[in-house]
Amino acid sequence: MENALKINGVVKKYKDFTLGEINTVIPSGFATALIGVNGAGKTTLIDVLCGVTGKNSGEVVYFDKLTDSDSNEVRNSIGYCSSANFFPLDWNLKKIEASMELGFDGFSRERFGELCKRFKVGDPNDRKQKKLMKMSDGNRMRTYLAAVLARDTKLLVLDEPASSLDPLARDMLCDIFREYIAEGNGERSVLFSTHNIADMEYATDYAIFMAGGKIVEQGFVEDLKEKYILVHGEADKSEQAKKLMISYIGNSSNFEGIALAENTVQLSQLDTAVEKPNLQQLSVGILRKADRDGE
Amino acid sequence: MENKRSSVSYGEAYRIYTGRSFTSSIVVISIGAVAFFAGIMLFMALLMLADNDDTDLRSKSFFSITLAAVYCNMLIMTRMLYSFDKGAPGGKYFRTVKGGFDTFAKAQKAFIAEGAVVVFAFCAFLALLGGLGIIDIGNAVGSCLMLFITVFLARAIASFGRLIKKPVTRTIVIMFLLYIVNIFGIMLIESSGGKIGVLQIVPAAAAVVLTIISEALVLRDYRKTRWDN
Repeated sequence: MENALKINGVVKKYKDFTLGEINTVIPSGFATALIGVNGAGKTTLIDVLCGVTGKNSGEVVYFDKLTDSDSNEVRNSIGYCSSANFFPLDWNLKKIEASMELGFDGFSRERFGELCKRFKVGDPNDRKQKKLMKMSDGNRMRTYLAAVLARDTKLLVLDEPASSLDPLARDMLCDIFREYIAEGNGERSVLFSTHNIADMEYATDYAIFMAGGKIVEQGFVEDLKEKYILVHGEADKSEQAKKLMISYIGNSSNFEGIALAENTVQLSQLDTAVEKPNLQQLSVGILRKADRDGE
Repeated sequence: MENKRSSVSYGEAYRIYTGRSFTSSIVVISIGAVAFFAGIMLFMALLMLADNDDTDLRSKSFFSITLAAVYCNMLIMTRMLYSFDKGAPGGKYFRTVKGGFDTFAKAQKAFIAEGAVVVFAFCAFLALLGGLGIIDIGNAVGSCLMLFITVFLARAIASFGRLIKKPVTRTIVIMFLLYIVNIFGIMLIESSGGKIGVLQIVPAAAAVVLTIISEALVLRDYRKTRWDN
């Protein structure tokens, strides 16, 4: 399997927002991050891909062969989870277990029990159960993750899974992504949206940047780090450097920003320091440019 | 070939949407409903005792039926007004389960069956109280049967209110329709003295027909305007 998802010309229109046209692939065997500011269209795209929201036009090819998001084969193969109130708030672990066992073919009670213990959210077999509404946001998210990971799926699609998690839990989430993909021998993939780019960099192989409902950049993180450079320099050269940069931030003494690697030689002539950006710096640069272009 | 058919039964759809089995749910809700109503009646009786009211509960037939109807409406309304919209808790989860909308439609029908069983159990309890003379309901079995039919006729008519898009307007219209139909039903029960006849058969048939029509319309509209959007 080459692609977990192939998205061809997907458009979703709302009164005040249009997603698309989106054309991209989610490569199989990797973790893909959807990165963008609030309102960029990440959640809408995820909802369309998982059949939560209908699309106006376009096609999504799942696992190189399926095209109907409403089919049970697609439903059973995708482990989807939203960030807020994924289950009714009066549910507890027992109810989640009872519902998911019938709602999906590959749900394992044993695995759910193990994951609940690992995530420290309780035991579905306990007589006394805590309702989701009485859990903290972090524990609620851990419960959602335990539920979705207890299924035998080919693709995990998680909308802002890290937003309510503490740093330690985010680190564990990165490990879980790695474990999940490794267990699949190249057949399993992860797609997640995030704002916590720095915390999730370790888990990200491929990145898709979104702004204003469109994809503005995408690629393997290592390739993007070759394509772009992080530039530092003294303020007196900032005006000349600025013309060669895609994003720029500066004060009276120095400046910093992202530029295309093809401009390295010209920027070096301006006595700038050039280095490889991390995903966080790359994201800020790319999204700043998209924001500026959109104005 | 992609399998588009849902393989879940009505009972399974109910369990997917509630996390509980249909049978255990109706037993628990029915017992809870009966116990809660018994508690209300006991409380009323104690209040009358404390006030030295010489017109005891047995003589308040109209009051008992009205209270029971209001109570039945509350049982029905809880399910009718529950939101499965995408923004509501669980809304997105329910859109991803096996069978998709087909499972949702089955769960909705299971909820109607749940309501019917619970209200029937409650009406049977009321008839029992009437039969034993604990509360005065003229022709207890007939009156309680008529109450059951009234509640379901009201539910069927109020169900058309679910076609309204705005949540606040929808809630107000549903509540209004439920109570209006019930008021007529209660007046009919009182005036007929609960005798079984055409008065029960016609509304019962209307309740069945209107339930089928309203559910079909509501589900079709829901899919078009709120499920896929």
